[in-house]
Amino acid sequence: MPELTIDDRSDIQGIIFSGYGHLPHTLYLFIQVLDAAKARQWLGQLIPTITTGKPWRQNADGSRAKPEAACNIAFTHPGFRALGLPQHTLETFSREFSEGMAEPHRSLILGDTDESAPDHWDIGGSQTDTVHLLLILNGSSLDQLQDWQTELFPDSDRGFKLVASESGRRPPKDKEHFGFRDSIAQPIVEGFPTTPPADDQPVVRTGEFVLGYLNQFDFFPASPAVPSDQDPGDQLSAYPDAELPGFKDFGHHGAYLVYRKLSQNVAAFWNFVAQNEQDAEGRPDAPAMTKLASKFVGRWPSGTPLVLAPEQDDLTIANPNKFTYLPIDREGLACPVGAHLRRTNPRDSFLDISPEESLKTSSQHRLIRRGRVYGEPLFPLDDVEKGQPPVEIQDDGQPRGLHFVCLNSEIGRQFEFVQQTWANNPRFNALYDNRDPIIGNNDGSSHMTIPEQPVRRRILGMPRFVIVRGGGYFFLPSIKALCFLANTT
Amino acid sequence: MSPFLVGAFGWVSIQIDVEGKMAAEPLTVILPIKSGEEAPLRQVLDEINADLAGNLYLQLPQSLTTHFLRLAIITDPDHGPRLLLSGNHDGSLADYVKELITIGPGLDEIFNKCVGYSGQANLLGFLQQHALKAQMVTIAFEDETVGSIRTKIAIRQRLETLLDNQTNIDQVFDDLELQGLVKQLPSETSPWWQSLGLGWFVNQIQAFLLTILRFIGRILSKPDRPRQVSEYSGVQVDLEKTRILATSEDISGPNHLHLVSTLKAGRLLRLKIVLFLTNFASRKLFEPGELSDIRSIHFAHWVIFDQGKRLLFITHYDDSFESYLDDFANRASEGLNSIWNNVEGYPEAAATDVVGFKQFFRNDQQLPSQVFYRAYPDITVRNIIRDRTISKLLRQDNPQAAEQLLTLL
Repeated sequence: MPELTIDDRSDIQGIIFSGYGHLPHTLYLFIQVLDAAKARQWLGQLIPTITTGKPWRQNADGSRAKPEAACNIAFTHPGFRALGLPQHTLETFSREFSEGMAEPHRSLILGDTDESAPDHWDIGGSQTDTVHLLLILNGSSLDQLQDWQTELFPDSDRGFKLVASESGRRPPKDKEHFGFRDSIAQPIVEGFPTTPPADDQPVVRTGEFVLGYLNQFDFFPASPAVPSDQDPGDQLSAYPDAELPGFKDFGHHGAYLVYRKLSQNVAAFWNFVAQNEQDAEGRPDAPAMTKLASKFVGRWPSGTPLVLAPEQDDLTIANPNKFTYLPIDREGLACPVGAHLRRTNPRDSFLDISPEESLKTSSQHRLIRRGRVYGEPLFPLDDVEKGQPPVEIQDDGQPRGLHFVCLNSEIGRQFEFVQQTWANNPRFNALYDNRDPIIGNNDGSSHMTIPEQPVRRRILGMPRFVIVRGGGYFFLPSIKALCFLANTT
Repeated sequence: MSPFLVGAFGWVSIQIDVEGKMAAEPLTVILPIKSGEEAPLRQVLDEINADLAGNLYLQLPQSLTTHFLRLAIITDPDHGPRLLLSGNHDGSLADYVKELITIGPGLDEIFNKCVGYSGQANLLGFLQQHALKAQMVTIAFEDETVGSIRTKIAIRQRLETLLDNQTNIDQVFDDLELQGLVKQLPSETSPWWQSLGLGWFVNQIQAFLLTILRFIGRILSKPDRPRQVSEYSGVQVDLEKTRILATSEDISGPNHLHLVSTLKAGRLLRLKIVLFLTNFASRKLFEPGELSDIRSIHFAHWVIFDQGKRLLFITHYDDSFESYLDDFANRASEGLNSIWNNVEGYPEAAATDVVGFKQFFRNDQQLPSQVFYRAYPDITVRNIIRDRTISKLLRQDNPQAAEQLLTLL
């Protein structure tokens, strides 16, 4: 497929194409609509401000002028209802989106139980105010974003209620709170303007992330419909192939956005690792600790994948995302089959099918990730990479973690599948009683199997280090769909 | 079918030695429910499901021969409510009925709500009278019984415990409990053709036959109408129906489902031929645990019933519904499309319309069950394949080969 046209990109929200890496601060505003008419008017005024995928302005020297700020907007199902989207449209979104992330059975699927249950959430839970829309603002400082927020919501009488506000940032060297470099692997997507370096995986079809394009099954993702007579201004696109006559395609150029507030228990993580790695005198063994934590993650703290550097970190590896598992590490002696990395994107490593089939399967479950961390680090994160993981570290009671944001065209087949069938599945890839050591729903009863010579090692009684504190399923409409929404009467 | 193919089928058929005690055929019984008894029966079934071990009617966990069993009340436009009893068990039906009676103190409370039941003395005859023959059957391990699978699980678990506590491999293999478990394993016999060194030859024939069947499958599975917008895109579906189905599913399997479809007019013969061919492929052409590159199906079967009017599909599978249907669409679409394109409501573009394919189950034809029991809830087909390998190596007294496994277990 050729690159998306400028017209198409100008209709698609920019967060699909860019993580705005040059804008290190993010403000997430979770908003409830109180007055639909006012909200629609506000939305109409906001639309020109929304960052799209339109190419950035060219400087005199030919380089691209990166935007000084970015704004993207997404809605929950109750949000669309509150704004007056037609009933037929509301009933043709995906089931996952319509039911929402906090639906009771879904909590079991996602492992959002016990401390992670929606009853305890700060945002989007069963005890908190309903969220209607999410505004994601990116900028170079938090002050800039807060000023912008005041500008967007100048007084309290605009028909909105701010349900929650969260700030996130891109940390130095992209280190998350356990001390590992994050956000390395992103899918290479057909037709997208920017292409990450080659990664030995199939290029993923546009339709895995943007509705209105073909997906990995050579189909257009299912998309919500507006009866044509309810679009008198003819603002929306028709369905492809002249299917569904009498209906317009509300989802065209849109995407589903998943938000999770993931709190990280950093002290518990490193103390558990220390407990399992003591030297002959019973003191924590730093190199062994770093290695064990890396076995949980699948990468060294620098981001180098274990499969390319099994014994120790190797900073000379140019592209930490260019690898497959089977040719060098079929058994998982370098990177355990149950490691976070090898579960959430198994690449070629499904043990019972050919590498080609395995890559094909993996490519049907990819996500574009746009996460940001929150909270201050508990310890100097670079220490881990320098071989000094924290020892006997105390929790300071401060919140810290990750605002996990991902984009996909089918929540059930992509985000939920990865969480349920790969991360939380105790029998993933013929393992017994193992769950993802980082994001799995461990409860102290399951294990982490680490293949080793002559005998494998099993870390018993894995606790849960990452607790879910909030979340929601959102839809990120195209500009055309936003215009339609703003004009709904 | 050419005479050559018929001959080849016969030839390959005799190589399978069904020596184990496991029943070669699944049990499928459909019993009409007496008028006015549906609600009371539903209540009994709900009580069984709420407490499989402690209910007063049928205590399935005590069964030593049930792999899977499901009880469901099904309805269709032509009949009143009927009770579907389906599953897989070891041994003969006569022995199984005896066991059901032993573990079913209130068995009568189930069956006396069905038309024609005259007491436990005639239960075997009653079930035989209503039993349906499956036209297509997949069994992951035809040579395993509930007992042998459980022994193999116990062997691996003992091995895991030993390895957690020591790394001296000799001590691990010398463990008396482990050795005792290994002695419980039934002797394994390899097919005669393998002992004669004809394995390669047989594999070639299997591969050849599979190529032919895939070729036939490609012709028969052609979609009614190719399309790229899902039949269910932009279409309202019944979310509540899916919610009911999903709620009864286990989060990480093994899971189960059944659906009842209505045949298209004039397609009975074609469907029977397709089921015959897929049955042959499923039972003769794949390694244990596999069905066309899929290793997540414990059992599956298709049954034509109601005088050729309807098709029942029942399966017990690993992992999530999503992953199961994705596997189907990716790796078995020829067979599945060839079967299901004979029924009403199958997506025009067949399983390639994965969203439509899933809705064909969820929104349209999948039915909930009231009771579901599985004998080994904590392991997958892939796990069993590994457990079999471990047990085999230990039994062969080949510690060098077994050590290889210890790095990974």
